[in-house]
Amino acid sequence: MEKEIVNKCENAIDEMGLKDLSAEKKAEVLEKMSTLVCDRIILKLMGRISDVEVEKANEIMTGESDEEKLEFLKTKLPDFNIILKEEIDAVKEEILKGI
Amino acid sequence: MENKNKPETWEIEEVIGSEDSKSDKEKLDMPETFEINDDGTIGEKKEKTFEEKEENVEEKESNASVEETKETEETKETEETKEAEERRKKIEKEEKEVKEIELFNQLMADIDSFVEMASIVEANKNKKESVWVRLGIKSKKSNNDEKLITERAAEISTELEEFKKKYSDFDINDKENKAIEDFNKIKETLIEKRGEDVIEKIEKMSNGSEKEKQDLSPEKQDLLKKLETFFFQKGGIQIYTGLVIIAILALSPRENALDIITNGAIKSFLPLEWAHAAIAVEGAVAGSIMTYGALKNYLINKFKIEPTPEPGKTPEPGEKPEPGETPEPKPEPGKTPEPKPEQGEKPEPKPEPGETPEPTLEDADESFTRVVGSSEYQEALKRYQEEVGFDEEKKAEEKKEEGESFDRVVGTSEYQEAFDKYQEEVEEVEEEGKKDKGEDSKLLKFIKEGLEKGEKREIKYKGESGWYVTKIDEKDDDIKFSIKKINGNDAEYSNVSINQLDLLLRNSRKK
Repeated sequence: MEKEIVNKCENAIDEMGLKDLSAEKKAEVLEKMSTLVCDRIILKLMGRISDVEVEKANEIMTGESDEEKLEFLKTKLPDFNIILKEEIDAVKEEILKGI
Repeated sequence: MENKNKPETWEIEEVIGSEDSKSDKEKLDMPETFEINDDGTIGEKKEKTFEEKEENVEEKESNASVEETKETEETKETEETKEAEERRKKIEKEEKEVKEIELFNQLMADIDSFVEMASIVEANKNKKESVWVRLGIKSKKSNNDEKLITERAAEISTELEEFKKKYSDFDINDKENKAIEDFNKIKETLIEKRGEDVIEKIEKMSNGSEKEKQDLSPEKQDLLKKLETFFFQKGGIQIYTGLVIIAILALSPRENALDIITNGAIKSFLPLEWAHAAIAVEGAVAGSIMTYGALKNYLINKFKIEPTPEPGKTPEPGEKPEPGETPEPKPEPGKTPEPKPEQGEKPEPKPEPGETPEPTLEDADESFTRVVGSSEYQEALKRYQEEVGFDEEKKAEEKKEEGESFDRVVGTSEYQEAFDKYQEEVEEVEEEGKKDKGEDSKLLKFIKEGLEKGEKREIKYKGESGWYVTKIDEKDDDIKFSIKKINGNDAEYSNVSINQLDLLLRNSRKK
């Protein structure tokens, strides 16, 4: 799957015309971009938790068991790879549109 | 009928022929020449005469001479072939050199035209800013030009890299080559500007995500906080972010990714060795949600690596960080962690936004004269004008876009006030411009007056406004001016003649 993502996707940094950007600035772009992607994934996760499930989810996340919490996240994000690729592509596209 | 005149030699041959029964050995031992008796029998061996010996010697010499000639001819042929080969190689070498020079010239022409384009774009930007910025409208065309020029810079970078691949002794950062140096400076400025734009855009998008979080129901907001707390407590957000970085890097060429890592790009998220290892698996771990400890164990087991100790902390021999321990201070929920410079590493000075490299007067003049005078410049300019859309259609489109921008603010009181002021100024300019057009003495007086009063009096240089005179050099009847841009500090020319200048009595600005 990962190879497929790599093959299908074009180069994110180069596409943004940032190939020759200084390493420091590149790092900043990567950091901010990845944080944004993370936020979006978390929001996507929130969107998958219905109002009915919220109470149960709150219980799990308040509980002591880390395994249970991880299991809950895995159940809600079984397609992590796909979401990750989608979000990176979407963010990249949106950035390119605006500059 | 019997032939009475049968030659003696015939008989000898007959006799010899009759000796066929003799062994080959005997034949070989037989004397070469024999006396022929009167009765026809073979006599004793005849000794060779002096003449015969001479003949033999001559024959041998002749044979030797033939051999020698043959050898000489062969040698000659070989030499000719060798010479032809050398000539071919020489021609090939010359052709290669010519091709190399042509390629190099083409490259330099591209760079020159690019530098010229960049100066035009910069000049246009400044020109527009004098009107549009005051009205609070950013020109779309300016953005479009910047985009095109940035893209062109990337293309030329590729050309330079390709040239470097072909001719390894070529230095793409040659500081002795002014064109390359100018290009690199402009490229660096453009790329940094683009980087700033990208960061600005991402920040805007992040604000959108924050707003979305705030729009969640109170119950979901509570859950969101718990999820974030869970991530932060376990160092999960760092890994989570790290994983996303890895995924992004996986889309980049390996050398780019490694370059970013080795330059400390993602050290704030993952220790260097881990990042290397993570890149090596190319996002294989990115597919799983793992705790920090789980990922750490996974990488340690997979690559037999030691984690990087925390800054300032010297690990005890054999000590390994505990699972769940984070290598960096945790960022606050919802906040973007700031990039951290390496310890002891001096950050490179960053150019101010909009700042462009400042060439010297001599350099600028030389460059300008060289570029403008060349046919390549004319072609390049034509190409550029086609690319950026200097045609009527594009102009109309730009006008429409600017008109749309206007429409958005046309109703505001700020607009009305600014526009009225602008219109008054334009009317003044037109009126006074007409009056003074062609009157060089008045123009000279105007400039001198400005210099005396220490004012930056705006004039046109080759039809382009935004310039002022910094110095006048008068030698007899020959008057030359040094001019500079009012906005920006990128362009400065000397030895400008008065007929290249026009008067623009719009306003004068105090220094």
